[in-house]
Amino acid sequence: MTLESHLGDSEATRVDEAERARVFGGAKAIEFVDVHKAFGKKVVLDGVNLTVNEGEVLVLIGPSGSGKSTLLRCIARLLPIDSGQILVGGQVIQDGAAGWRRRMEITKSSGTLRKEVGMVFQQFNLFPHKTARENVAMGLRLVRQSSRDEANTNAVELLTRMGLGEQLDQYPGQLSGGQQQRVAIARALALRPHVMLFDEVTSALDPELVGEVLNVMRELAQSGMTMLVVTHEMGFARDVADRVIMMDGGLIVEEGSPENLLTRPVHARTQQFLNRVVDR
Amino acid sequence: MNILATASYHWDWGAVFNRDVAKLGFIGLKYCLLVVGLSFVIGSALGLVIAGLRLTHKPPFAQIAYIYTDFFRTTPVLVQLIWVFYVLPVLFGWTLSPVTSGVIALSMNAAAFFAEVFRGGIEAVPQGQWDASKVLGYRRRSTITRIILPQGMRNALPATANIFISLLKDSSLLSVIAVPELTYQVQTQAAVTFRPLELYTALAVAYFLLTYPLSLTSSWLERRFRIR
Repeated sequence: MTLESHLGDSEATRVDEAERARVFGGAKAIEFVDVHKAFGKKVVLDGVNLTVNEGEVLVLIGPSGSGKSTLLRCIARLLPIDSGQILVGGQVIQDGAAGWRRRMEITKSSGTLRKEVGMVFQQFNLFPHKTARENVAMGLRLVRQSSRDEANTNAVELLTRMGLGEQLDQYPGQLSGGQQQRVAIARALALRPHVMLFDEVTSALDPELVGEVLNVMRELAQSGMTMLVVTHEMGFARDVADRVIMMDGGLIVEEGSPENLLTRPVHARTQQFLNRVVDR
Repeated sequence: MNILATASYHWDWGAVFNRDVAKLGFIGLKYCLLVVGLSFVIGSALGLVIAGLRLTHKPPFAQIAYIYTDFFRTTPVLVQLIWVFYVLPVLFGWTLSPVTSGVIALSMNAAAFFAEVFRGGIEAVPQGQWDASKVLGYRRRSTITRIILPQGMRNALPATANIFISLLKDSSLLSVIAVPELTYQVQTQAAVTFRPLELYTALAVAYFLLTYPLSLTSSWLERRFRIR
């Protein structure tokens, strides 16, 4: 079974339209309203406004330190924002202006929504003391309250469709980088999120392993998943993205279709950046 | 004259290898292991709590943990032991048996070292593990018990074997407050038989035989529980 074959029509990864309608109620998948974020004096997000539609695949590019990863981490609520608002499925999940009481409310009310956002990291962040199967099944048990058997069956199915049927009971340290990253994607998908965030997921991989991970992501995009992808893989951006966003200095400096932005960039910073990336 | 006398010392190993010493040695070993075992269990539990306090990074809790570890690491075990045995009863008006005092002192001392070892092990767990757990929606409690602690404890495991070795050696100090452990037995026997050289040599060998397997265990643990 090849990687390309089954992911798209897999029961485990297909986006359930009815479920999405229930959760998001037709709202935008993600909205940023004038979001500011600084680490001390260093400004990383300097007034970001952004709307991501359901089912859209958005690729974020830009030099390191431009705020791409921070943007993703704010959606995942790994980082608090200083001002502005972030909405997921029409619901406020971060409000920079809120006092601590309101923040508590937001945290409480968006508790379920956290499960709607999955994230994959550059460094995989798999649980090293758990096998591939346990890594995937654990979330189902702890977060979705699945039974042990149910979680196990789901995990096996998902991993098998990721081409990891042989590696079910191996520990992350026994797997290649590409395999680890596919386990990490399976772990996030197991919770059936409606939005997936990918933070430079191929940057830590040996070049020959990049393809297998990108293929999985391609299939996922075709299945209708809403995706925000931070990457330096311009080929992937060209093929898969619905829209490409160029960030620099904490701002979105340019956005557009991959053809336009990657081949006919308007902004000088984008031109510079693309030249440098291509030169590599 | 003295040197000659020493050189011509007549070793009498019969003072060690006899039924009396075997019997006393057995009792001593029993008390030694009892005290060390209890102190290890109580000390590690207390140490985990203190490490937890320290890791809250919140003012009153972290400070308490700080003061605790610093106090017990900067004062001699012997002094702590004597203090628990002689001063605590006066302060609180209770009577403590030598064994109880010994266990309290050794536990509290070991807890300080356990706390540092656990804290180091837990802090060595990468931030990414917290991030991944958070994004997956795990509760803080599940994250700590299922993700962070198992890894942190594995990191700390080899060092806990060293604490066990220290406890075994420190238990000899309990002879000062008449806990009938190994060293105490040897002391009394030496006073009776006037054969301290043989008896203390045997005692040193006994401690070596007790601790050496542990130090081997420590390096075995290090290999066995290295996270793959």
